[in-house]
Amino acid sequence: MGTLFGALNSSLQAIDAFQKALQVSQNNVSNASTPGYADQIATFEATPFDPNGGLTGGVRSGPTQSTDNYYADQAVRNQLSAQGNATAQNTALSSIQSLFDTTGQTGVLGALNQLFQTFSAWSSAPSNGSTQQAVLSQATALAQQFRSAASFLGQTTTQLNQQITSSVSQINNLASQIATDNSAIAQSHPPDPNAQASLEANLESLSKLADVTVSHQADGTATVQLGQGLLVIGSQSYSLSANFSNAPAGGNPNAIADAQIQDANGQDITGQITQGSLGGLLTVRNTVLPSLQGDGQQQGALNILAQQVADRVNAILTSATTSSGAAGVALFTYSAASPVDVAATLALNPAITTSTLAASNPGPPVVANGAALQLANLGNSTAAADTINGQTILQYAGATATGVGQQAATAQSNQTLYTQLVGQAQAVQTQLSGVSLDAEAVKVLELQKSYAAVGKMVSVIDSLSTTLVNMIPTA
Amino acid sequence: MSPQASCVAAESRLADAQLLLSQANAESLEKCSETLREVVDLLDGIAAQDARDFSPSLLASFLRIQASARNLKTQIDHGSMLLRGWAHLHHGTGYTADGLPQLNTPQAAPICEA
Repeated sequence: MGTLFGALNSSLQAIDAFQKALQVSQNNVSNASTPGYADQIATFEATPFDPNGGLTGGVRSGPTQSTDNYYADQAVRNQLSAQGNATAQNTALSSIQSLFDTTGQTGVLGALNQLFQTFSAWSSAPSNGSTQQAVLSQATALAQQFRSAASFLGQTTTQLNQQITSSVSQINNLASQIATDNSAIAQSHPPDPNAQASLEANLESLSKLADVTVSHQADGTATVQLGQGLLVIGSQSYSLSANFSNAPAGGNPNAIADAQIQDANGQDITGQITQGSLGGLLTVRNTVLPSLQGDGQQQGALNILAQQVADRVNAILTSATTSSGAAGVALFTYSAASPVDVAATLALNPAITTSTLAASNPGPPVVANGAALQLANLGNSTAAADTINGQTILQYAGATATGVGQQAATAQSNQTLYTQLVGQAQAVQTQLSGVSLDAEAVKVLELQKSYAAVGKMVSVIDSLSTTLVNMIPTA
Repeated sequence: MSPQASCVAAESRLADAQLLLSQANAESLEKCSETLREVVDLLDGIAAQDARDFSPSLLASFLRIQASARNLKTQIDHGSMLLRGWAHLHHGTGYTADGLPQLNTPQAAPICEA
């Protein structure tokens, strides 16, 4: 009787085990397209077999195992953070890049080139009313270009502030959802796979926004850190905030303050956010824009350029004389209240007219077009007083434009690259998850060999392309 | 084929290779190797031509090809490191005397003779 009961009990356990396996399979199929869902594997445990002791052997259902691999998940999240960073930088820099036309045809660089050309034409006919008027018109156009560029950078700052605020809000929402997922996981035994799927999807979304560190606890919950601080632990989440109103460090009045991200305790954690779209936005907002428009500690390339052009043109004109022998008048004015306001306030001096435009170098000897010639050559002058950090005015303007262009090109290239790396990490995860350890090891070895073969080919291409670059004849 | 046309073809093949590389399976990687061999042939063809006929505008194409190759290298390094980490986590049995990870890779099953 005991044996019959034992056999019946064993078969009931086996039926229960297979029933549970079927449920797990059903769940896998239903959730196949759920973001973050990892296959569950039903495990079977052998029950002891000892007829003398009434133990009939057989199989019973064990705890459900997840094939979810935290290592691969972290690899995907790392690349998502880098991708988010590159995408945010690419979008913001593409917009700024439009201001700086590296061909020198439009924008500030174009207007600067045209001003030097009108100076040149004026030097050929210093008393001609048309060439004099052209100088005043082109100076007005250049000042307008500087003001437009300064205004555009100001608008870009405002837009980035809004995007940073929005990103912080999204991070806070996701942190709150992750805390909710944690709570659901901690309360279910074994952990609810749907809550785990939601958790993984929310962690991936969060990684796109910032470079978070995730550590999984024994109960299946995730602890999330941003920099040194906690964002989520268990069912508790902590909110971040964005601050744009701190007094800027340094001595430049009217300077725009850096964007600052604060943790729940009000501590500044801006420097700890280097990846994700928030990291990318902060890089452009706190590094690229200040390098152009200035901040509390630096004047910014646009203001440096505007001031150097205005100061040198004014110095040459005011030391020159008109054809009637009168002292020259400055061509430009700008607000000297703050070094960061020069580009935004640059304008044609209202006191100047064609008749007060001084072309003559008083000498001795007097050169009738001496000042005009000096102005025509100002853009390429290597005299110490005319240069900026050792570069001529046109070299400095070109380098500023090229610098923005290179940063934008790098961000665009990185966006493409990290998109591929996200796909690659996901593909590796898919290739290796859910197979036996032996099959997994074989696949790892096979893929490693293939990567090595492709790597050799890529090295040859790199070497060949370098050879070709060196073969281009130099002008 | 003109150097410019070869560059266009090489860039197109490199874009294909980038996509194949991100699929991370043996078949795709084999195809990726074949695609990259075509790029090598195209670049070899350009290098065999008289450099005095090269237009300065080719420089931008060569630099793009170089940048693409370096991006592919980053992808390969990333995939390779990912696999190493995975293998270390799942198949690691400790470290060698040199501090390198030691892996327990599958052994050939003994053959039983009838």
